[in-house]
Amino acid sequence: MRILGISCYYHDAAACLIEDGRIIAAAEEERFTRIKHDTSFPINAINYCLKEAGIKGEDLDYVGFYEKPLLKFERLLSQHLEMFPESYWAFYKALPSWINEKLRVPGTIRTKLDYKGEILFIEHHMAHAASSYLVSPFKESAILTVDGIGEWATTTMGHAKGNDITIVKEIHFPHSLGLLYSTVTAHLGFKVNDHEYKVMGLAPYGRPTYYDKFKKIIKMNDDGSYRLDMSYFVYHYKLTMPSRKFIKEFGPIRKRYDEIKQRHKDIAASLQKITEEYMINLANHLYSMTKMDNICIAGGVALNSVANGKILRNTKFKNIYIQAAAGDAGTSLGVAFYIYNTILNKKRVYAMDNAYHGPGFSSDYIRNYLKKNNIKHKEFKSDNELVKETAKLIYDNNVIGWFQGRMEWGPRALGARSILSNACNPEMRDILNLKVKHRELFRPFAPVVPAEDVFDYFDSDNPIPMPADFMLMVYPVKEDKRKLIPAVTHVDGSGRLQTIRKAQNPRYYQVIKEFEKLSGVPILINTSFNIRGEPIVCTPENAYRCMMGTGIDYLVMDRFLVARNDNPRDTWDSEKYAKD
Amino acid sequence: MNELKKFFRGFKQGFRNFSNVIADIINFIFLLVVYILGIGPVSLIGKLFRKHFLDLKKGGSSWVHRNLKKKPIEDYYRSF
Repeated sequence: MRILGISCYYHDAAACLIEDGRIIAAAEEERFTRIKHDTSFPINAINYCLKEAGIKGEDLDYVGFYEKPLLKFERLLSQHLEMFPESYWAFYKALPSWINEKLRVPGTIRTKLDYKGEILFIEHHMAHAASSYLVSPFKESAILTVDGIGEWATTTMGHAKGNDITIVKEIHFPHSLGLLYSTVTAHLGFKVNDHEYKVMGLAPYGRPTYYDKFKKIIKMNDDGSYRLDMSYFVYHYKLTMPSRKFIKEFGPIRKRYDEIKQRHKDIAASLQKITEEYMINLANHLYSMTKMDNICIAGGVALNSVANGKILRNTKFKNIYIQAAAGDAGTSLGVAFYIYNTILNKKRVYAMDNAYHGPGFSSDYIRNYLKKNNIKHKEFKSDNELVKETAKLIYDNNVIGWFQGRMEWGPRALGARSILSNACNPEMRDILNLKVKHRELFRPFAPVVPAEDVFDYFDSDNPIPMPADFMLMVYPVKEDKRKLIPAVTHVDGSGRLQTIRKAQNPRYYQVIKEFEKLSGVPILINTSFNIRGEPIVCTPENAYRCMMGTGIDYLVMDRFLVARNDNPRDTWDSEKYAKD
Repeated sequence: MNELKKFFRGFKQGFRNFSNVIADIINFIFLLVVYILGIGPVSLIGKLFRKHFLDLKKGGSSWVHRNLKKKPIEDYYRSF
């Protein structure tokens, strides 16, 4: 039985195809269109999924959509009915896209996929809940979903046992922890629905001096719910987010390229503190409601890896699971599994323990590509030779583009489309920023560490939770190890680590182990393989273009090594075309 | 010939821009009429009867109890 899940028209459009309860393929549309957080109907991602399975749209048994569009439209109308006549501009901007595409989902799916079967609409937060629980290793679990906005719900609590999920209660728009985070993201001059992670990265540089002001804005109730004081916001009737009152309280909105001052850092620190406090409070309330040992979390706020890292330590839950694509892209996976496991009541046979569900390219494809384009390269005869030479290049402080196997599902590069470099070199952060990333200096780089070595370097939960494999947990680096891995130790001594197990990605794992033989440290820098402002690379063509447009020294693509200096004719400067 | 092609290409682009401006103006006026005549009266009547379409109050619990569980498959065919 083949089921396709689709999410689109808000942000991070994606598709996921499952067959008999296992993932065949899953990918975000942005990787194909090269438009970051692409919202459009994910026809490229769908075509890829169908191609991977060797089928056509007409061969699908069911198609699922990640929300109920008419319920969402009802919420939109309610906003305008409540806020008339102040909301006209938002009405004028929003309505055409509703008429042209969002209310025409069934027709679009049938036409573009040539599909004649049933289309199932699953509520947005149920899709989130399913995206985490149904691919978790748990047989029963408490479930918490927190994001910006679904149809009406912004936060839900529930539980699941076997194949059945129950959402017990929810908090409705406009009260939203996710939208509070987005409002501050906008206030700090970053892009909403994109740069929230930058605010999280900025927070450790500040002190939570605005904490009390935030407490006035978001009130925690004894029953675990929270409520926003909407006089600080205008997002329920305008296209902007903070109100004049908010600006009066927190100072003027920072313009995107203005200097980041201590005030901005303090606001970020205060927001992060509030977010962690509320997430922990929600989790504690959920525990008192369910008394279960396991918790599954989903929604955009579940990408806040700093808050995630504190859940087990501050609640009575023993195990945590968060799926690799915890944000809206993951709901396409959620609806597919919800249809299969819950609605059709088919046995759960799958737990997601790796994120490699995107496009992959054969050695022959890559060899042909390199030869056809006269790209000078070297082909390794064995994996052993490849990992040894790659580890040596990293040890010599080269920046490596690492393109191996199937692309990652979700927003993090996890060793299939990564840039790797030396975590022990204190200057590596600056080198990477100068050569490749050109990003804000406050942002940390992430470490990748074999799962068996994690306790030597990090004060993590024990056993290490599976979300760490998806780079969704932040833990403190052990104090005596911080000097050993300065390039991946954030200013507050933490690291957003990825743990890797040999079975997940043997070649990637071996490179780290070879690097350990040279340096004594089994940790590398792992950052996303992309040009600033573009999505992570998908194809060999994207990877080569990215290397030649940045300062990446070598590209290790399958078993081929391409040196930047051997191919000077293809050099260009990606910074001239950077999109953010 | 090339000059002529260039002229027509520019003319076509200019015409497209012009049509976009016209479409924006029509959209603006049409949606304004819908907003005032559709949303306006319902909103005013709602306000007259103290009906709130959004929960904007400052105090109290914000939980909405759902108990949302699996439903018959036909319920999922609906987009509402």
